[in-house]
Amino acid sequence: MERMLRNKWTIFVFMFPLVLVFTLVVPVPLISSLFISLFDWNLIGASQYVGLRNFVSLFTTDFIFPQALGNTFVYLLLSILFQLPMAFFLANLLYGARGGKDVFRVVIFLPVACSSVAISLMWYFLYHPEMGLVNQAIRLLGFRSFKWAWLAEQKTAMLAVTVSVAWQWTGYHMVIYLAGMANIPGELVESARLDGANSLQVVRHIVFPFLLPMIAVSTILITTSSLKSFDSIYILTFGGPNHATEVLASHMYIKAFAQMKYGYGSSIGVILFCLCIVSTVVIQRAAALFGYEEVGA
Amino acid sequence: MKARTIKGLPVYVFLSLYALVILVPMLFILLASFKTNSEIFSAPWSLPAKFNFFTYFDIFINYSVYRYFLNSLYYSVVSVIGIVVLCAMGAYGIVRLKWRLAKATKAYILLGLMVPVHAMIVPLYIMMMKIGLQNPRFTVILIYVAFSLPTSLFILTAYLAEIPRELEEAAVLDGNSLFGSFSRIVVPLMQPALATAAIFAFLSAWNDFFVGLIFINADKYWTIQLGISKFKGAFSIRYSYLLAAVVVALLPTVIVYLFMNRKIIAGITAGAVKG
Repeated sequence: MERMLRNKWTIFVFMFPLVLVFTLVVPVPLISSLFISLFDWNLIGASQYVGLRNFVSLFTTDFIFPQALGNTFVYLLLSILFQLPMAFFLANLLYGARGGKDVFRVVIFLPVACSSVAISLMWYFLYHPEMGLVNQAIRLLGFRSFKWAWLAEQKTAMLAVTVSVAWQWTGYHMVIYLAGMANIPGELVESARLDGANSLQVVRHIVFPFLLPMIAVSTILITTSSLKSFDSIYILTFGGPNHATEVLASHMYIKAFAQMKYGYGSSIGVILFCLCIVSTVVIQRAAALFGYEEVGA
Repeated sequence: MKARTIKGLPVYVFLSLYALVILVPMLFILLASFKTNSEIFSAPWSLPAKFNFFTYFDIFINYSVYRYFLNSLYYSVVSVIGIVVLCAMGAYGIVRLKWRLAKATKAYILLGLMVPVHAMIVPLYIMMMKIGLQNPRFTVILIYVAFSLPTSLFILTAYLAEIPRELEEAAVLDGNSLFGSFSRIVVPLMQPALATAAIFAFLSAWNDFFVGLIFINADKYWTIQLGISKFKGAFSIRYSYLLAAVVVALLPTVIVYLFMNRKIIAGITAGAVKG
C-alpha cells in the first residue's frame, strides 16, 4: 500500500489534469497581465513597449479613471455600511430566536443563490419611475405624486445600485456570522445572564469578540467583491449617468473590450488585483490587532 | 437549555418584515410577468386578471430563450462534471498520496481564491484570439472549471482528511488496485462533499455574466444571463417580457436552492470558519 501511494506515475495521473487546467487559466494569464500592461497593444497593429506609461496615463490623462477609483471606494463603503451591520443584527436576532430559525435563514439567504444579472434586472424594474415598486411604496406612504428616476439621477444612482446589491448579499454575511455564533459556548452566555447582563451587554462583550474572526472574513469578502463589482453596474446604469457609477471593472471593460486598448485595460486589471491583495492583508492585520486588544480588555 | 440573547415578539416582527422585503419584490415580478403592460401599471398589487402564459411561450420560442437556457445548462453541467472529476482526483492526490509537494500544491491552487477574474481576462482573451478558437464553448467551460477549482478543492480536501483510511487499506489488501479503491471506496465516501462542490460550481457557472460577455459574441452561443441582459434594451417597453425572462433565468437556481439550501449554507459555513 505504502509503495502504491508513493508511485510517481500514480501521483502524476491524479494531479496533472488539475494543476494543468489551473495553471493555464489562472497563474499564466495573471503573469502575462503584468507583462501586457507594459505595452500599447491593440491586437491588430504591432504591440509597442511603453514601460509604465499606461499606469502614468491612468492618473494624468484619463479623467475617468480617478473618478472610477473614487466611485469604487464609495461603492465599497456603502456596501459595508448597508450590509454588515444589518447582517450582524439579523444574525443576533436569529441566534436568539426560538423557532422558525431555518425558515428565516432560508428566505434571507435566497437572493445569494440568484444571478446578479437577473436580480439587477428585477431592481431595474423596481426602480422604474412610474410602475416601480420603490416609488409605488413611497406613494403609498402618502407622497401621492412622488416620481424619481433613481438610476438616472446622478445624485442617487450609486445609492440605488448599492441598495440593490445589499438586498442580494446581506444574507450571505448573516450566514457567516451565524456560523461563528455556533461556536460560542452556551454556558458563557448563561452565566453572564445569571450575573445580570442584558442582551446588549451579552452582544457587546461575548458575541462581538467571538465573532471578530468572522467579521474579518466577511469584511475581506465584501471588500474584494466590491472592488471587482461589475454585473450590477453593467445592467443597472452601465457606469452612468455621466460616469456617476463608473467603477474600476466597468472602466476596464470599456477600455479593453470596447476601445480595444488591451495594454491599458490590463493595467487597470493589475491595479484591481493589487488592491484586492493589499486590502486583504490590511484587514487581516487590523483584525489581529483589534482582536488582541479585545481579549486583553 | 440553549442560550438566548434577545427574545420575544419584536424579534419575529422584525424578521418577518425583513423576509417580506426579500419575498415581495420576487413575487411582484413573478406576478407582473403574467400581466399585460397596462395591468402592471393600473393594478400593480393585484393578481393578474388572467395568467398570460403566452409571454413565456413567446420569449422561449420566438426570442430564442430556449437556446440560451440550453446553452447555459450545457456549460454548467459540463463544467460541473469537469470540476468533480478533476477535484476528486486532486483531493485524493493531495490528501492520500505521499509526495513532498502535496501541501504546497494545495496552497498554490487555493491562492486562486484571491485572484479576481478581471486581472487575467485580457491575456485570456488574447490567448483565445491567437489560438483562433471560433467555438467559445470550450473556452467558457475551461474558465468556469478553472475558477471553481479552488473552492471545490478546499471543500473536498477538508472532507477527505476526516475520512479514516482503514476501508481503503482493506480494499487494497483484498486485491484492489489503487484506482480500484479510489473509484469503489473513496468516491462513494466523498459523495456528500462532491455534491456540495457540484452545487457551488453549478451556481457559479449558471450565474456567470462577465466571462460570457467577454468570450461569446455569436448569439447562438449566448448564456441565459447574456440573453436576458440584452432584453433590457429590446423590451424597454414590454415589461412582462423582460420580467418573464428574469423568472426563467432565476428558476433553475431557485429550484436548486429550495432542495439544496442546507448543503449550500453548510458549505459557506465551513468555508468561512476554516478560511
